Amino acid sequence: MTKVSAENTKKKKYKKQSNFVQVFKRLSKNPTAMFGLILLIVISIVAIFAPVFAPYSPTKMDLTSMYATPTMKHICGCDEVGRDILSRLIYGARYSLSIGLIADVVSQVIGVLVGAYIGYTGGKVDLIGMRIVDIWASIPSTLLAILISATLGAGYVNTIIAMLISNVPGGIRSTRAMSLKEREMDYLEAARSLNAGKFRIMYKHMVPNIISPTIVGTTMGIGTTICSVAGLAYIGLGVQPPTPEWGAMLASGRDYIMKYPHMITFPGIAIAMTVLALNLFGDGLRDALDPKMKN
Amino acid sequence: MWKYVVKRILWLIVVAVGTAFVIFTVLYFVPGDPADIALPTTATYAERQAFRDSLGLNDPYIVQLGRYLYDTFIRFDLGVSWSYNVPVIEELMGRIPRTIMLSLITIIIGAAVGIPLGISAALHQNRWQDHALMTLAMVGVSMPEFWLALMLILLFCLKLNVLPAFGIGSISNWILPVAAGSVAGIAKNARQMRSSALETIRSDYISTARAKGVPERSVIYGHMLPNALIPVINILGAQFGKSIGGTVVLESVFTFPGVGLFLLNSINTRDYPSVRSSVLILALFAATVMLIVDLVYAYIDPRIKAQYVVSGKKG
Amino acid sequence: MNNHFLEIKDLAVEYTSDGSIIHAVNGVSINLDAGETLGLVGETGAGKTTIAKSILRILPDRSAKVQGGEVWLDGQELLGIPEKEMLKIRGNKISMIFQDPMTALNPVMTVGGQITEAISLHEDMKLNEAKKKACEMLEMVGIPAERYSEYPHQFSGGMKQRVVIAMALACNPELLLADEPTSALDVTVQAQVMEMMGRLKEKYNMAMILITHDLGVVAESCDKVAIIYAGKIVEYGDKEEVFRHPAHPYTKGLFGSLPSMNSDKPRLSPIPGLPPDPSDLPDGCAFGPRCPQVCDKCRKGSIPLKELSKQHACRCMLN
Repeated sequence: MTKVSAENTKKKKYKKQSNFVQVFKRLSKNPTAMFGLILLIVISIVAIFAPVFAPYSPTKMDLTSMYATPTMKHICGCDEVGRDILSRLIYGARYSLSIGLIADVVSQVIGVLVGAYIGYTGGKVDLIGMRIVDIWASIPSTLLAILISATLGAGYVNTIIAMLISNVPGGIRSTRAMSLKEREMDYLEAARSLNAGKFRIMYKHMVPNIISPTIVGTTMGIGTTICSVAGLAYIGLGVQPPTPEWGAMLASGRDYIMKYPHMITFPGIAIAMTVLALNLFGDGLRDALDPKMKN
Repeated sequence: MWKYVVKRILWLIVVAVGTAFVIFTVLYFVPGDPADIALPTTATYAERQAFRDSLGLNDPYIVQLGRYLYDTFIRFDLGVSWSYNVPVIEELMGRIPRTIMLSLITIIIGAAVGIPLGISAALHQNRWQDHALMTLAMVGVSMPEFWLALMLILLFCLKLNVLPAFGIGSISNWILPVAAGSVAGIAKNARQMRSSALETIRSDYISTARAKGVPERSVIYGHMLPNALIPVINILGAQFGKSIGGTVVLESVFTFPGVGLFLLNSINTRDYPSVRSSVLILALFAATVMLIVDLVYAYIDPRIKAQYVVSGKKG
Repeated sequence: MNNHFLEIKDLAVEYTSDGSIIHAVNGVSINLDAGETLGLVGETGAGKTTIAKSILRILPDRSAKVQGGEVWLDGQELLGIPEKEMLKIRGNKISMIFQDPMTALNPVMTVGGQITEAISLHEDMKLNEAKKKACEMLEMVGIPAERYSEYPHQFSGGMKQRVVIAMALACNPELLLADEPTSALDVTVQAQVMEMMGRLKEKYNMAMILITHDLGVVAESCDKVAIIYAGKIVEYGDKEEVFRHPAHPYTKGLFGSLPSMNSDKPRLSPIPGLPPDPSDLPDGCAFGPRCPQVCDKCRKGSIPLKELSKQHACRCMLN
């Protein structure tokens, strides 16, 4: 009897350490991942509380400091109408981060919901669904985003929509592929034998088991989306100047590249730093979620 | 195997028609009247209507779609550019080879440099070579391509003044676009190759090979590499699809007169036939490359090949 | 002085993982004569596979380290010789069969090619001759030679294990390390494969170390048996001796966990608890925490392997 109870307490203790805690524990042992996470948190805080951190207003023009190169007063210099670039970068983080976050998370959620359904149901649903997705994805995603932005016109919301439409097929595809393999697993057979409902099996039993790669993919995907959005803005199809979105800042700085390279250097560094943080964190997250990958 | 090739080529045709359908449908909803662009602002309503009629723009969606698909795939006629008033194909003819060259060179460099770097990182796992390579690769995947291009222009054209920043004509015009376009591919392939190699090296069949007395070099190049390459090649195709969009932006940065630059100009002038055709060409090109990658993939992985050779096997 | 064909002396192997050291094998000594079969029995994680891999020196060199000991094969010490020499021994004098035939074959090489590779590595043969020999090997394990150029995924599990066996025997090894060769197979196939291995062993007069957790398999095909617990041999001896008079409580526990056809035990008596954490082994007897007869003497110091008779030794304070 004592043995049984001893084992029970052991189990409880094990159970108490939820998956999340375990993953975070492994994550916290990885210095580069923690560096990425901290960088990410700092960037997010700065973006959310932009008015607190920005030294100037992002729209205030100061004709006396037009094209000012970086000094103590303006750490990243000023643009063609004398706006402080650092302040614009800080406010710009709101646009770049939120577009990346919304477009990517929403498209992954749709991808998981639809992909799990298609993959788990199989048969005709899978066949027809995948044909639609294949045709949808037959235009490479960035190209589709360019086309849709051109159609909808530039702007914040339209950029999100363009990124969403071009990202969704990829998400559906990967979840569908995983579901297809997963549905043959014995534990789902067990759930079926208990007469669990189809949606319950799909979303309560199966999805949690295939979600890890998607979580990693979403983290990295936000970075890719931020890059794509900046590219769209750069070719004049995303968020438009004078909005201080990072890509738009690059677009308006390109004409001054020769004389005032600081106008394109700093926005690019901001993008690269954010994406780097996301990638470092995503890499660490992958190792933490999949301990067998670490040796 | 031939059955598979034929099947994939047939599928390519379906993709082509599907792509054309998507492009047409998306552009159909573009706000704004092409007559505004083609005709002077003084044109009357009647003149506008006549213009629209001549292009068939007043017909219902389905009729226009049918006509477009018929023209494109049966008559191989891409239409006439509204802004230049010449057949689109003429404009594209000179540009297509440039864009294809640029992206092919980019993807080949990405694989040819990235894969060996990834292998070497895996073989030096956790030593300084590995850390240095992976740090560089991490930076490489984190930089936006077009910004890297701008930085390269800044360094090589404006500061050092050794390379031209735009145009086409000599080899030197290609160096920067290729360099800017390759970095991300090299970095991605190196990362993918490294993790794939490290995963493969732990496989049981690697132990089997070692237990047979296979020398370590042959274990790595004869047993590990062919298996580790499979997932890398698999993502190469998808990666190429992504990079074709990047090529459009790169062409804009370098004013490189390819299909992408033409596409962007056509978007600005609302020149639908040109937009449609350039997107279609780029998408078809990407689909063709992906097809080739898939065939190579099927060729080296007997498990995929078998799905099509032996019928009735579980796929 | 080395009058046995294979002599392992005080082998100790450690793994490092996430900064902690895992004591996988702690001073294992084994003797084996030519033609003999030793059954290496123990739970998962007891260090059985590690012992086999360290004989062949194919442990992952980044995480595993042989801390001490000697392996003598036919008068030659294997742990000290250069890698180049070792290459000639692997697959030639010593072969190994791995646990999971599903993953033991290279998926992108034909099965015939994989056997041919083993042959041409060790025998001075032209490629054609090596291929011919490979076909013969396939036939010998009951696979038609026409299937030479098929890929592993076209074979069933039992067939794959036959291929693995053909590959292992291709160069007439003198010592075969078989790591749970049948545990991944169906019961009927298990019997076939074991029967075939027994036949081939007779034919080539091989010595064999059979790693298993199945005492039934040991009863059928072994001459000697070594029971491993937490990287140590706890009981060692002739099969007959050990099976008739199991001395160590762990061995007794193993027998107690087996269902028996001819006794009317009302229920099985499984061993309570779990094997110890190999990175944090208890002082004294590693089996102590699970042992029904544990006493204070068991809890400290190292417990020696005591000879009970000439053919039987046991590591327990009770004897």
